[in-house]
Amino acid sequence: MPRTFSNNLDRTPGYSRGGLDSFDWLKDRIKKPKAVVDLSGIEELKGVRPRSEGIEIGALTTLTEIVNDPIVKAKYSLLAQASESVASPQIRNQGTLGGNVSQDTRCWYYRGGWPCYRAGGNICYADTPVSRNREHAILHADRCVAVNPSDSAPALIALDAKFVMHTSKGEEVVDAQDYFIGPDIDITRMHILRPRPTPDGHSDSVHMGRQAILF
Amino acid sequence: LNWGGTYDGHEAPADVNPVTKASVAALAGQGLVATARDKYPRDGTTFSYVASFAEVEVDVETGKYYIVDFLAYADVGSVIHPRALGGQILGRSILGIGHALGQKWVFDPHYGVMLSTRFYQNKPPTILDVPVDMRWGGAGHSRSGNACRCSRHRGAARRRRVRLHLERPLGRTGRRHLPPRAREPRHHSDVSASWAAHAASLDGPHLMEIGKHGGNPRRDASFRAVSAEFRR
Repeated sequence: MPRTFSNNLDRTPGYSRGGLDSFDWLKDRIKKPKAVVDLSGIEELKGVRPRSEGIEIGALTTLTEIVNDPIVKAKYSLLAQASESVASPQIRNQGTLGGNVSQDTRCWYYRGGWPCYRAGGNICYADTPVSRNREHAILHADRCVAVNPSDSAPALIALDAKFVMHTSKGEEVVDAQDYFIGPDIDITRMHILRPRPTPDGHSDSVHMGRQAILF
Repeated sequence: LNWGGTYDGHEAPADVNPVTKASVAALAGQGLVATARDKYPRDGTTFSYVASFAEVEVDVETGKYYIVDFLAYADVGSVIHPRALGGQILGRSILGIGHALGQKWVFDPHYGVMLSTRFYQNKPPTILDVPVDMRWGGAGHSRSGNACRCSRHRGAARRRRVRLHLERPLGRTGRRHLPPRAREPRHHSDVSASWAAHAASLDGPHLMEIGKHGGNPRRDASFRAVSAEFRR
């Protein structure tokens, strides 16, 4: 369990997590990482900090903290509202903003471990004529009809947020709307943060970024 | 009430009992009257005898709905513990609302595999989904005086009064018109006298007003604001 943030983190072997999204995969025994790195000890990535151009929100800030933050409430109430609409209070207490924007899709075929396009197969089970595709994309769908489940993502895009990511290549800043990607760009990912899984099912590195909202 | 016809008792369905028709005719024009005959199949399954009324506001742009007012009225027979009964009626009503609006078992028809395996796919209602103003009532024989007609006891001045006529609303002899305390209490042999006395003492407010007791004040405030906006 690392205490400080450094670029060495993303060379950690095994699978690292922010929290709630990963546990579903582990509970269903679909992903079986050899090791899980707990990032919750990194104080540097927690909290909302005022900046001259706006505010900076650490990726490990919980959604409850964002909902209750006076600056967010006063100036960026859209984000507070969006964060408050996430799931239930217990989940907001545990879930982080970084995890919320970086979670995988909730397509029930994909999350059930079906070998679809997104999982490396050659079919979309949700797009067959008889499939059950409630809560899937009906417009601009590519081979994959899954949608991004993040409730905070639309608010961050609307507020022109910038995402600061620390990767093995150094610091990288992207606009919120460029952070989320569709299946036409890369069908195995929902966003540019998550590394491509290795063939044996676990990721070989992690990039828990730091997010800044700049205005 | 302005709708008239089948809504205020001027018309009764053809298949109800003649006695019911007469009762409905007697109530005609006084309020909302609902009359129906149970058509459940006699195949071994049992359903509760509950009639529910819901006032729902829908945002026609987004589809977001708000259940503004809710009343469940049950034909339950003797009421021994009114608060427990109210918890049952409203609790099951909330489950019914969940089944109607948010919950579903989803199976893939080709592979036969269950898909909605998580609560975020098969969403049960939470306290934020239940109506702000939720009331219940029971019809039938009551051991505790007027407990069964609780929906008329409180808040009548500020709420629309809803009267519901079920198949057997008055008791066999229409004794409802007698003062409650003058009634001879009828005890089952297995119910102690103290229990009966306790039940009688509970004759009082049997409205469960979630907005007032144990509700979420913040939610209620915002809800009322939204409702007011809709009504404008």
